[in-house]
Amino acid sequence: MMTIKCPYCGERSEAEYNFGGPAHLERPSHAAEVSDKEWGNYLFMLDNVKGISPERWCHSHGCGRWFNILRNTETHEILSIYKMGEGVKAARGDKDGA
Amino acid sequence: MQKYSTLSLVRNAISHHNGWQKAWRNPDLKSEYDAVVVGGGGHGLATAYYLAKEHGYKNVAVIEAGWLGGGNTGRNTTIVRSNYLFPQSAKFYNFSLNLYENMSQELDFNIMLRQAGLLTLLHSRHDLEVMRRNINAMHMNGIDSDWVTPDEVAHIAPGINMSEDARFPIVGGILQKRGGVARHDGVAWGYARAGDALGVDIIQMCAVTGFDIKNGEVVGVQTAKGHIKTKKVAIAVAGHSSVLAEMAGFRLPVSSMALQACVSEPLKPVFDAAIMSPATGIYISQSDKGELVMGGALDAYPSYAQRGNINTLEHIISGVIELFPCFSRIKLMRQWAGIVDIVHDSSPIIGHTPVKGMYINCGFGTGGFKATPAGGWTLAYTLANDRPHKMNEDFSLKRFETGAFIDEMGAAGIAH
Amino acid sequence: MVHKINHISKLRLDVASQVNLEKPISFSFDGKIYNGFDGDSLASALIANGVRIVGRSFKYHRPRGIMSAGVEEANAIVQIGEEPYIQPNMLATKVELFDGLVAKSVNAWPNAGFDLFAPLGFAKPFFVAGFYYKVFKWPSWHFWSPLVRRLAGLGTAPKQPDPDDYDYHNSHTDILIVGAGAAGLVAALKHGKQGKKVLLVEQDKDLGGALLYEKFEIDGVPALDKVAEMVSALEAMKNVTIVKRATVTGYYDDNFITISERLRNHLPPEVDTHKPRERFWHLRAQQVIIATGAIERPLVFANNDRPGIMLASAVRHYASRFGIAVGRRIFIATNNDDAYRTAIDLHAVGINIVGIADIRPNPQGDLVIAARALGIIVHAGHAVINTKGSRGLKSISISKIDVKNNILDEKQQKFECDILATSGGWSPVVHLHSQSGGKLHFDDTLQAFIPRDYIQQNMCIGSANGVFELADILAETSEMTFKINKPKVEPIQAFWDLPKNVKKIKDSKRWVDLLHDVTASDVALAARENYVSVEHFKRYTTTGMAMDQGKTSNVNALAILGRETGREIAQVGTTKFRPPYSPVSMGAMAARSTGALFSPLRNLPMHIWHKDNGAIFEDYGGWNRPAYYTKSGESEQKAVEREVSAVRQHVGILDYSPLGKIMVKGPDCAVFLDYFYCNNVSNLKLNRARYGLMLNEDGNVIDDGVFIRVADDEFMVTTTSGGAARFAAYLEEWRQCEWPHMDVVISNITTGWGCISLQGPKARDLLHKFDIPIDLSAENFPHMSMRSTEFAGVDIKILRTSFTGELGFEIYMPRSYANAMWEMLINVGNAFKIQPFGLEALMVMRTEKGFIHIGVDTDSTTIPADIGFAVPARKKPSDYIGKRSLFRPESLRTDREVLVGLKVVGDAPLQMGSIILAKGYDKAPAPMDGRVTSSYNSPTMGYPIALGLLKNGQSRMGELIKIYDLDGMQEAEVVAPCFYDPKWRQIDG
Repeated sequence: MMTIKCPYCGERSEAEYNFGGPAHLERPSHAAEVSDKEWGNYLFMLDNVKGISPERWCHSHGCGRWFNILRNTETHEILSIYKMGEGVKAARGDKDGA
Repeated sequence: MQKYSTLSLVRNAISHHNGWQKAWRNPDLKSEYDAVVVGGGGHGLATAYYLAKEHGYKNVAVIEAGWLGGGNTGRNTTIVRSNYLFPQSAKFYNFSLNLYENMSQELDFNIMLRQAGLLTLLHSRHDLEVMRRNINAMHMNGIDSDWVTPDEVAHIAPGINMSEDARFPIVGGILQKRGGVARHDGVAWGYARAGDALGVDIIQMCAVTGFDIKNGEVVGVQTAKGHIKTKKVAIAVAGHSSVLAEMAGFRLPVSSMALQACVSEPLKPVFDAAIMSPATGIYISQSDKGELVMGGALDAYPSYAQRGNINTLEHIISGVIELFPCFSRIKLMRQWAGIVDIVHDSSPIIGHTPVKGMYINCGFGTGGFKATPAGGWTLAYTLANDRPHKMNEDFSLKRFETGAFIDEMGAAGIAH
Repeated sequence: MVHKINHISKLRLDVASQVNLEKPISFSFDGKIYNGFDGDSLASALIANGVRIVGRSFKYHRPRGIMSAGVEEANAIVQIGEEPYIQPNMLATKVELFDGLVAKSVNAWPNAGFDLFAPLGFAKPFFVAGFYYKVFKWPSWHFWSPLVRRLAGLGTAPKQPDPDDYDYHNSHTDILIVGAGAAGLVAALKHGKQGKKVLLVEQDKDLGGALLYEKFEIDGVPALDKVAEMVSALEAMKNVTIVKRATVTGYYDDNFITISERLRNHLPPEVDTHKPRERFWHLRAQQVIIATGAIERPLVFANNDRPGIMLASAVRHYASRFGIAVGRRIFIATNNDDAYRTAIDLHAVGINIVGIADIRPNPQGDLVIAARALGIIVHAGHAVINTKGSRGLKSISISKIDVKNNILDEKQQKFECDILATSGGWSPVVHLHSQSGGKLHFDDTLQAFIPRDYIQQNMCIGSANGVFELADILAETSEMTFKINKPKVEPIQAFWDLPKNVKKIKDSKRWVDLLHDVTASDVALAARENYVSVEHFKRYTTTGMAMDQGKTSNVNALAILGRETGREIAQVGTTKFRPPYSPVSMGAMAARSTGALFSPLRNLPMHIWHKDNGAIFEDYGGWNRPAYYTKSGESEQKAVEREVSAVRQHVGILDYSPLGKIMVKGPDCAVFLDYFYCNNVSNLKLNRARYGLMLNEDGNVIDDGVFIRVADDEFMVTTTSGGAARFAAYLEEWRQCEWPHMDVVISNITTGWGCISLQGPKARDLLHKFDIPIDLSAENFPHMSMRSTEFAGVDIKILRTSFTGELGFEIYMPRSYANAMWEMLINVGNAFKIQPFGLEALMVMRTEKGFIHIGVDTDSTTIPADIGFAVPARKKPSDYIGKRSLFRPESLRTDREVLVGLKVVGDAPLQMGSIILAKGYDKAPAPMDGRVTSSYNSPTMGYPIALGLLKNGQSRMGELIKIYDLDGMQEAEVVAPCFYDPKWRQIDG
């Protein structure tokens, strides 16, 4: 039962949140033009990282906002939390710089 | 292979059991194998066994990062069944069940298959309608399956809440009589012992660290204990499939999620069948040792941590108490988790990978145990012939491109 | 019924104890009535009554007695209480005695003292570790297992529902201290004084841990007085909370802790029933201090399982805390100094210490010297090798031992005694540390696994950290200084099993796991057969897998396995410690999340009206909705027929409030919504409505409903009742994560707004009776359009739509007004023969009309083309979610299963879920061509109707198909999926 710090509400128990899949996955803007294989890759092929993984979470039983978490899937340690639209690299950099 | 029998047990009892041989050797890693199976769980060990037995492979290694049978094989709730909706699944899982039925004799190792039935509970008018499709489809697929009345449910599962006022009242059930449970460790050990006797080298505590791939073809495996030359690699590492795929340079449509199970204190027999309740999201059986073995939904996010979360566990227990209010004063003894491969359509992937000579068996989700023999058998076949068997041709990676899924989500609500 | 007996057992010592001899208590064990006293545990009372055999072992039904005084008990497992208050598998050592307590032994028949299964013990030579993997293959395990199952298991499961309540308790604290022994108490004082919020949790009923029985003096007073002083200091601190009879069971991520607090188990079950029986805590602690102490290990020798063989610390525990002599002639076996405390303490109360066998050749510690000074004989360099006494210990034999060379002398000395107190050293209770993710390290000096590498915010203190001497614990933990005598202690001598040079010993039964009946030779067998990884070993022998999860057996077993395989204990390693630390009632873990609160059903705004008017409720997607309304004695079929005909001929009224209602507002709302429907949204005109399908990215239909343009920049979207929350969340997810630049606001008003649906040719006439300021005529208020207006001072919306095929008006209003409006409509509607109708009538009518029901006529593989939306979905110019997937090979297949109507041959309706056989087949098994998705006896048409999904269905109109159901085969004709009013003549009334 992790504690997650919602960027809008602060620290709350994991039970208030929902995991929503990998972060920074971009939907093909011209979906009609991509091949079946590329479309399949977008839909299904996952990094499924063992280790530090960028994820999307939603504070669904709170403010309802989505945000990103950089989380270690082996230890459940949360390395950083950043808002939607903020790049993963910046967040990683923050951590490295800290 | 040393014969296991009542006679040999008696004979050894006289000699204070000094005559028992090693169940398997601890061989040194050779520098070259005809085929390397990565993963010493049930599926990997079965693959190696069938490669040796069915396809004449004399020089096979199973490479296991930990101890054999220590992943999901040793962590699941041991249910076997074949009550599937789609013909491809039905054929595959029924083949698996057939192999299970002969396994104790074939491997000369009692895997303790107890076919006391698998009862799926129906809780609403909607369940009755939806599950009628399932039972009829099973009959179409040639799978035994019986419609069970509420009275029969009460008989199969004494103590179950038959009140009409229950939150999820029981309105009937579907019984697959051939379903049941088997001893998970026994399956791994049985395959390991029989494979070892056929010359399979089982290398434990030896992590794979990389693959040698030349021109898109696998030519070797790097391990913690040294380098192996080989042209054929089979991967069966449920939970860690993506990690191995990444080493080989491709991705899989798989998420690694924690699936919990728990057992109660041991009790005198309460019921024999394995019981699943899609509405409450739980399944329960009683082990031969007397413990109630319980499980339910996946934890809510990806994890490689092999430990369960408390809120999922509480939900499982609540579901159990909802079904069996008389179990409330029984105590929970142990909770644990395995890491399973979750795939979009809840069907496995068995077949070729983008790397030539490399084959994979993954994506069994929460139900890999019952597929163990067929998963190994078809993977061995595919590797030996470089083409899938009819039974696994539809379970290829290609379906994630074409959309030809075999979506078993509806098969029983929860897939175990 | 338990009768009172008042006499004091001879085993009660004439010393001060924590048992109140003024308060006698009666209880029964295996049907016999005994007496005890307030403050006794069931174990202490049984010992005082001279009951030696309290249980039978798991496999061999060997007689077993109480071996400990705590949570580590491996023998004394009993069943407490009678239906409906049964508590199976309780530790007699942890059961507090109360008046009228009924206890029974488990795994014995008829009772523990006389067990007809005892002959199983003779099968020991065959029933070795893992023997069942080798036999029972013929004819099958299935054949043998009923027998084995009956023999296995311990207690009996209750058969009646639990009458007691349980609660969750959610809490936060700065510091959690687990265990109120010396270390825990002084840690609590230290942090309490600093003003931190401290929670001190103790599994026992009393605070003090080992100080409850050890004869220490602190600052010149008995330790117990010091404990009382500390406890009152703690109780005076407002920031310190003490919870007794509570076990910290689990340690999860981010210092999330579960605690099982037992509020009423020490009381007769009928007392205080207004209180929960147990409370299951969810605690988040800033820091966790683990002061869980240590558990003494037994020694391993031949027949070390007889009643009367106990842990050395337990012997003095019973003497000091309960004032009970566990026996009259005590022999002590040890490999360390600590066991000498038992000799000294018991000698002090007049018990005969027959002798002490110490493995160590020349022990010279202060406690050894003290014992010798009392005249107690110490057999240095000797080990207990065997015992006698079939129903309780009678004698022991010792031999000289050369530990260094692992040689046992053949010569034996025999001693008569009724108790053998053994100590093999102490194992820190590291379970919680391990659960927290921390690692363990085998300490060669202590011969124990101690905590190392903290992962979370926690620390182990005291003996849980391998600091065993009180003086060291206090000095380490507290900033205060205590005056305490610290004896010189010599190190423990590692000793795990007897040498095997004497044949009789080699072949003897030397128990390692008492609860699971595992012997040292079982360990050796596992090693011989190469089950040498610690997990293989555990599973093959079942060591440590019993109820005690190996609390006293694991380290001994690992050490013996190490010896058999030529490895050090550290190399062998340990298995993982898993929650819970000790077993927890499942009722407590479920707490209030059962029954109606397991997955709460939602009631409709007009619930009470429905209830008062004969509604039969069912769960439809989490809503408690009327399936139909019965008039007295009416069957479901008759009721549904009546309701259908009322709608078809007059007017029906339906509480449609669960319908998903989502408002999407903002300049980009049309563009945004265009991404969610496979048909066009943005060209919809103001106040008009359109039916649409929503897809996932995989192209599958996930929901359907009507969307209405209520303003240029605002849509109202309806969904299925079960899908409302999901679809609202789906819209939000895409808005926030993928299209944050779009200016839209999404609000789910499903539960805030009620909806009343009027359906039937008289619906308009009925509405005309009300003073609604809009033109209701078909020309000016056409099908699929909406009007916003005011009625009786309330803002309402009226949507002209129909899920029945009749003229229909859905009236939307804030939920609180819904019931008033409903009653008004019924009152006025009576003149039009209005009838309320339920979901089943609705299902019949929508099937007659050929309208699909999501999740019934579709499943997770259905794409728009399968249900008649091929053209709009493929032709829609703009991109939308799922569109790309509709162009994959599988979606473009021409032989997909598509929606058709089915007209059965004969009078019996098809069963929903029947399977359509492939051409040329007429019985199961056969390839499948599709299935029946909806099927009803149509009161309107006068014959059974059905919808189905059929391979290549459009081109098979008129074909006769064969349909399988487990109740029999049927035939049906493939027809268009619309039976009622295909030309839509009824829609305007």
